[in-house]
Amino acid sequence: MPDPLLYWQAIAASAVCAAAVVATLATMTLTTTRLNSACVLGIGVGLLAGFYVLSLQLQWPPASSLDRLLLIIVPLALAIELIGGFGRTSRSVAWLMRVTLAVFVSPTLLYGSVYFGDHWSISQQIAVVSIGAVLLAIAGGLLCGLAQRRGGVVISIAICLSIQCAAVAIMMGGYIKGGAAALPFVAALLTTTIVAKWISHRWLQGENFAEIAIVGVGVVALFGFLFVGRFFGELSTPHAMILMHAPLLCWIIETPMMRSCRPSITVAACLLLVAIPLAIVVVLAKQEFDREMAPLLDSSTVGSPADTMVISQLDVSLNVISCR
Amino acid sequence: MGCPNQLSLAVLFAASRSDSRTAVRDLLPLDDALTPLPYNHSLTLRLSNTIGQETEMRRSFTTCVTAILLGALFCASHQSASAADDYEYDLVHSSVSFKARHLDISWIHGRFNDVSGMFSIDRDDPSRSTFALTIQADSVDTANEARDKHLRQPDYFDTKQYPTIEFKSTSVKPIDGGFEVTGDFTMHGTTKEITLTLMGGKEHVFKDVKRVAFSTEYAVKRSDYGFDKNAIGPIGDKALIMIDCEGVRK
Repeated sequence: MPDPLLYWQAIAASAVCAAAVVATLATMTLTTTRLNSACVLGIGVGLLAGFYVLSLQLQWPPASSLDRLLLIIVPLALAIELIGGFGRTSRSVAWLMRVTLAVFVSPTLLYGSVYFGDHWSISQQIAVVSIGAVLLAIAGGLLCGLAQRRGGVVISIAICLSIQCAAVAIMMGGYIKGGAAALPFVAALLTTTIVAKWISHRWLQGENFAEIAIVGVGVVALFGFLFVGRFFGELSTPHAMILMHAPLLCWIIETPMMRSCRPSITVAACLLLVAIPLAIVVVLAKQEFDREMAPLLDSSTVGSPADTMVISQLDVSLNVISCR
Repeated sequence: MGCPNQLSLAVLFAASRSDSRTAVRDLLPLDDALTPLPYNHSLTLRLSNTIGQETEMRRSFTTCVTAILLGALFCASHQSASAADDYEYDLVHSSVSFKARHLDISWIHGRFNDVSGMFSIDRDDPSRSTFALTIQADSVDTANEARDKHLRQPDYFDTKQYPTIEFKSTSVKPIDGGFEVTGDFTMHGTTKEITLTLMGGKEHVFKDVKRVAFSTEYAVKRSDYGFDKNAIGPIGDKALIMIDCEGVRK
């Protein structure tokens, strides 16, 4: 059953560990390249701390799609961003590695499942794998490209918002472990972004902090969780597509109107625009949860009486919103 | 079945064979019989024809005996291979159900609606019997669609990753009232060796169809089969599986 206290503990552990690693490594030798490497390692350590607190049972060799996401795909994404951040690695090689990973994410997550057995024909398998690769490559390319053009923290925060909403939607669909595993990503990515931006601003004399590594890992994680939630949980395809593409609304900061505004207003407007479709998805997921899953829960499994009261109030609020 | 009779027949044929010349001479007319053989051309001709026919007869007889012996051998070997009866799981007259604790105060019941299997029972040598069962995990049914959807998800049965629950016997031992069957039980991607006590084995012929039935119960711990420990809370770790299966002889 969901344990909110455990989730907050995992988020805190992930955030603290990620921040500590980034701050320690980045201040040792302060260059943009080293900062990039520190971010990648900070994210990795933060995730490990979060998984440890959550007591996530991961099997090796990986047995489930979540195992393959967390034990194969995410470490590969971290490794690619680490190698791609080195000065000697050319941009084309880094992008080649990212695109190669994008091609292999879908078949890796579906490996050994009914989809590659009797469920789908060969043409269906090829279609789904190809579409997945294209979606991930395009989303990753657009977001990393925007991060390179503008820098800043808005894209990373937008991706973190999406991952958070994806976690909630997956959990409300009934796949609690899958949603919970996404929470350390939110903490690690967000904390790494904030700490790295602060270090860059304070000690690198305003050098543009390229958040490509954070965005690269974040996009792969977001796609992975949505893919797992869609094909192994009860996340619907429209919800998954909205959650995946909401961060792309950050491109609004490239419009002439936004370029002329103050940075704080640009960031606020961008995040508000991204938050709207995410909120709609969460509300719809909650309504579906109330319809299908809530009757299975009785007062002894929900938690404390305070939790029950909060959930009841949330129910009332959501019903009022949906009626309007 | 007639095979032992055919064998006796072959033995009788071989024993009744008599000397061919004596037989031919007895068949000839008296005059021809008194004339020395080399000097009687017509007799020689008739005799050579007879001897030719007799050789032909001997050849046919040998072929016949060989065929009968081969047939008898085939019947005997076929008899030993069909000592075991093969049965197919009858879904209509069988059930695989389970129950698990809810909040440690009550039981939640469920069943699997899509099950298939084969078993072979050798009455002469029960250790050669085999049992195999395949359950489609997707067919879980607890009389609540929302709960069934939840059970199919990765927190529980993960039916998209592990579509079947299987049992395959590796050894069988006869016991009073049934069989003790040891085999590999695979659920949620984990295989463990378990021993089931199958009670029953009573046969019944209905409308020329032979049926046999067994019952068994087995307790499993979900945590032993890779189920998420965090998902074990209100629903207990232990579950009891009840199998009542009837097989139809193929």
